[in-house]
Parts: sequence; C-alpha cells; structure tokens
Amino acid sequence: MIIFVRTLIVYFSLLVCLRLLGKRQLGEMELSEFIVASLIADVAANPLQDIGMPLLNGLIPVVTMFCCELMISTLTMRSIRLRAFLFGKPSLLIDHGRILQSEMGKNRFTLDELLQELRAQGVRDIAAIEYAFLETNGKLSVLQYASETPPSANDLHVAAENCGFPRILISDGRLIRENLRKSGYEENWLYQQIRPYGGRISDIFLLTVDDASRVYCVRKEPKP
Amino acid sequence: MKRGLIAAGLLILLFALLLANIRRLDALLGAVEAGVCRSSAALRAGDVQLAASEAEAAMKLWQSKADYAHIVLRQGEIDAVSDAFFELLKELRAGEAEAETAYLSLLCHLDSIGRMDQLRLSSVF
Repeated sequence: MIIFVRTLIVYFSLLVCLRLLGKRQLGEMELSEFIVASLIADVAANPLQDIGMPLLNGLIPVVTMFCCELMISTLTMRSIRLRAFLFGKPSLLIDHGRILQSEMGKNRFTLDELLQELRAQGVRDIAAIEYAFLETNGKLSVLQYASETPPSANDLHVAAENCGFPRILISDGRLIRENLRKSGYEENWLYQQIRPYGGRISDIFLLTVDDASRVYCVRKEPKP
Repeated sequence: MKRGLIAAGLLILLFALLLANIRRLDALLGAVEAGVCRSSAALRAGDVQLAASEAEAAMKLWQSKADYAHIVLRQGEIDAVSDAFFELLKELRAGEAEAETAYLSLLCHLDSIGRMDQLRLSSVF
C-alpha cells in the first residue's frame, strides 16, 4: 500500500516539477510519458537487483504509473483545459523576425539553444522567420515567411505525379509476400523485375515499388 | 476513453487489493502476536513448558504463511521475525524464566512489519 501511495505522490510531484521546469527538458515526449519513461526502468529494476525484495515492489509502481499515464492521456484528449494545464501551451519565441525575450526567459530557453535549433533546421536568417514556436514536447517549430519557403508544384503550375510510398517487396534476400499482395502484383511480375539482376530473390538486397509502378532494385554486394 | 476507464478501474482494483492485503497481513500478525503474548503470560505464571509450546505454535503459524510472506514482505523482515522466534525458543527450551528481551524483540519485529504498510504520514514519507 505504501508503495502504491508513494508512487502516486512521486508521479504527480514529478509532473508538477517538470511542468514548472519548462518544455526544453522533454525532448520528443509529452510530460507524462517522460515521467513514466524516466522512472519505470529504475523502479522495475529494483527487485531484479535485490532478490530479497518482493517482485510486487517493482510491479505495483509500474502498474500504477501505467494506469496514471493512460488516465492522463485519456483525460487530456477530452479536455483542452487539462491539456493546457498539464502540458502547457506552445510558446511563441519569434514573432515576425523579432525574438520574444520574455517568452525565452519563461521557458528558460537560451539564445544559444535557439540558434542551435535554427541552424539544425537550416535557417540562416532570423529575420526570415515569421513565427517560431516552442512546442509542448520541447521541439522548436519554425515557420518562415512565404517568400522564404521553396515553391510547391502548385505554385509553379507544374503537374506533379503522386507516387504514393515505396513498398518493400524484397528485403535482404527475403520476399515480403504481404507487401507484394498489397501492391497488387503477382510473383511472376516480381521475377520479371529481378531477371536483369540474376533472377533469384536471395540475390536481391532491396526491391521496392511505389503506386506509380516505379521499381527500385539493388542487388546484394558479393561477399569479399 | 475506454482505455482510460479500464486504467481507472485497474487503479481502484489495485487499491482495493492492497487494502485487502493490509487486512490479511494484520490478521496474520495479530494471530502470531496473540500466540506470543499467551506464551509470555504463561512464562510470567511460571509455566515454561506452556510458554514454549505457545511460542512454538505461534512460530508454526508464521511459518505456515511463508509463501504469502515472501510475496508481500522483504526477505530481511521475514528473517528478522524467524530469528527472533528461534532466539525465544532457545531461551525457553533452556528453561530460562527471564526471556523478556526475546519476547520484546519478537513483538517489536512483528509490530514494525504491521506498521510498515499502514497508511500513515510517517510511513509514506
């Protein structure tokens, strides 16, 4: 019982503390996921390392945190207010090329970190940014002015073919029959495709096909 | 929503099971403590034989629930109670009429196990 209550206290304390710490700590996870990820392995490992401790001492916190995480994710999906309260809202850090220093301070986001994120996203000129948001998962989303973004096929009035995505039909010498069926081709067709590469599936490293029937095939390199 | 409800239900079930476990553990510890107290009373009345047999019965009761104890208690706590029982029985079999320390030690261990899982501020924090 004490473990159950302690787990609840630690879970919700971490939720509040990390919420107050700001978004940049989180990486790609939401707050509650981050807490579970950082605690669960440690908690579950205790009974494994100490065989004198009952396994329940590891399982109860794991199940408790799992349930809390499920409940919080369900509740935050239904309530915008709770979502804003627990995970916060995206923070606007750059508005029409102007860095909002107060927002940076609130989120404890340093100028070095901002510039690092912008460089990582290939942005050279802060003045070219219309908006930059620090998202609730700690990632920076940069929206450049329309004049700074590459034109799309529509902008250029060019007809672009939708090719779908390439399905892997052969991976490292193995045929993936489910993908072959989903792509709507027969094995005979496949053998025709690989004939120029030796004709044997086991000799093919990768073969993909997209919705426009474009085939990409790579033969296995000979072993040295 | 369904998953959230299942999670809430699971949490409530877990809480209920843990409460039930506290009651079961309390009942076991109560029965063992009662046996130890009967043994202590017999010794105070001068009947060392009865004191030893009551203590032995209490130890057998404790040992009969060893599987359950290993699931919910730490090995160290189980060992401490078992050691205290053996110490008490050793003194009683040796015919010693002064085994107060051994009784106190055993009752103290049993009491500490009982208090450990009680919902109190001191045990939570």
